[in-house]
Amino acid sequence: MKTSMLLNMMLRGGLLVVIVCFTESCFAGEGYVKQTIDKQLAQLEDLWTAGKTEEYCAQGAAVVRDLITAKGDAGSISTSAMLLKSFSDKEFAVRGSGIGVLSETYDLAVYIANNDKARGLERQKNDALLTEYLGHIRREQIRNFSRLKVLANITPSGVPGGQGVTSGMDPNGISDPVVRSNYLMAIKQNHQNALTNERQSSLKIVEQVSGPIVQHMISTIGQGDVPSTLVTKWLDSGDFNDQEQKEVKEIVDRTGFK
Amino acid sequence: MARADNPASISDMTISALNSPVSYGTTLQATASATATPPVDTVSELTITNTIWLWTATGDTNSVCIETNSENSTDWYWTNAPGGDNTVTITASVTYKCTNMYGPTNISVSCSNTFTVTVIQLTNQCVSTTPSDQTRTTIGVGEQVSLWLVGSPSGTFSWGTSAGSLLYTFGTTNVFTAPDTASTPTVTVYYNSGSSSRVPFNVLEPTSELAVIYQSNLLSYPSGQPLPAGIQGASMELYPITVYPTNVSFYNVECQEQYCAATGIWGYFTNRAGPHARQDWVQLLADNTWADEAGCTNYPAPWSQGGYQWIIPVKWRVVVGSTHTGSLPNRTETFSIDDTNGTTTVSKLVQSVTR
Repeated sequence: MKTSMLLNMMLRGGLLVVIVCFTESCFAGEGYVKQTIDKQLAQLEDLWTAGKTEEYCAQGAAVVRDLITAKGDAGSISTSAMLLKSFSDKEFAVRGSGIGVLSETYDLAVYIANNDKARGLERQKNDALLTEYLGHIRREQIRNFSRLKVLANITPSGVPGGQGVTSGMDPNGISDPVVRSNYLMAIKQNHQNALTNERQSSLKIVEQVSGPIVQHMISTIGQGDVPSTLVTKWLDSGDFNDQEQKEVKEIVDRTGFK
Repeated sequence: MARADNPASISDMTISALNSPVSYGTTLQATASATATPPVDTVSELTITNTIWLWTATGDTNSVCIETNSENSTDWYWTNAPGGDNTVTITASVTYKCTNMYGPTNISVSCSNTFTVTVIQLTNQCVSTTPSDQTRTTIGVGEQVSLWLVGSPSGTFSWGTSAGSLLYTFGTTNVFTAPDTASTPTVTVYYNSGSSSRVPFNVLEPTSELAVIYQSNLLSYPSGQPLPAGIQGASMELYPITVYPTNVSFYNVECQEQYCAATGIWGYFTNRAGPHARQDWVQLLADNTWADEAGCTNYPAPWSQGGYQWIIPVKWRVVVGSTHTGSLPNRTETFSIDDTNGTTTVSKLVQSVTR
């Protein structure tokens, strides 16, 4: 996944100092770690509230990387869960194109699903979070999506007898305001198509998170004491397909419901 | 039947997996030994005439097992054991061939023990399904490869790479992202015995392009209607434009045409030829293709011969986590009006259209 994508942007955005400070201090001590992460999360929220989406993504990527490259423990799992919830709420509320923090949500979800040692209610909370996340990924995908046309250059729509036009010309070189405006709109549409393609392509890749999420849920059910209503809710929430439902049903049949 | 003063017995089987964990393909070695006590029966005048040891191994190794001797201590060798924790049960049997006052008789005893040998089988699979060989280790810049230890063996595993990046530092699974320049990185997984397994990669950069005309002489995108009669102009949509080499995937690469001034301006286009503007970055598809439009329309009459060209620099970069920008060969795009009827020729990437 595109975990490291935004490190580049982070450097461009001058956030290196913040990240280095975070990296050096992150695992110095448990209490200090929590304080540092809480501070980072608060900064993330501030960036989001201020509409600084790019910086939000950059800093979010750095926090995720630090979390998941550290050896998993209960603290980092619960922090990851909190971060996944925060990212998901924003990502799926506003995104229609581009990839935002999609790759970071994937990394967090896989990390939680593969490293969660919690039991009981704490684990069930994570199942609810993971299945809700999976449902978002699946419902946003466009069925039978065909990639939209994206061109390296666009040819302006000229006016007969007017100024001649060529593909890839500078919009500022067009004197007719209508031709220029239409050209800019076509360029914008081309760009939007590229972002939509990227988003749909990423969603398809990110959906591979379903494997670890289903396994996490099966492990939870295998521990027993999971109400049937909760399992049904998770299946609906994650938009589980027939094969996944069958896998879950097999473990339910062996374990039984509370 | 003989009455034993001391019945035969066998016990104390010890097994040591001498070199577990091992890398896949390495011969596994184990040593087993057991202590057998022969039967004694003075009443029936029991005499042992021969002692036969038989060693067998069963388990989920699905491997070739070679026993090297038949004494009370044996060495075992396995080849082709699969990745993961392999449970093997070794059984030792001793048969005492005896005679007593009643005639010949056999007395057999056996014991068994189970041990685990861990095989580290590091497997790699390219994320992109194009090219179809996902096991390839020749990959494109920025390409991603899933890595995992087959059978999820027990133990502690840490990961490292000489270039590029890894998603995780610990665990039995990982995702490797190739660096943004041509290189030969090696991904290594270290395990608790201090040993390691590795996968060497060969990372390639984009080198060249080849274009095909998909359709021609249409009004500009997104209209898609044919150019009307009486309007000067020619255009072509180039698709696919394939970026080589194609034995890797550049799905994580984006390309961009750069600014360039018009050169070689003559005739009709004198004082009419403008520069080529820098365009948006366009991400390549998994099969290394992208698309373009080359057109020249609506120049006013009266027409006369003339032309110009753009020598367009083309840059590429890895979409994620990269500061490096590389170059593809320049694209030469030419425009000409060939006669007083406004017949126009547009050429780009060695393809050409005249209308």
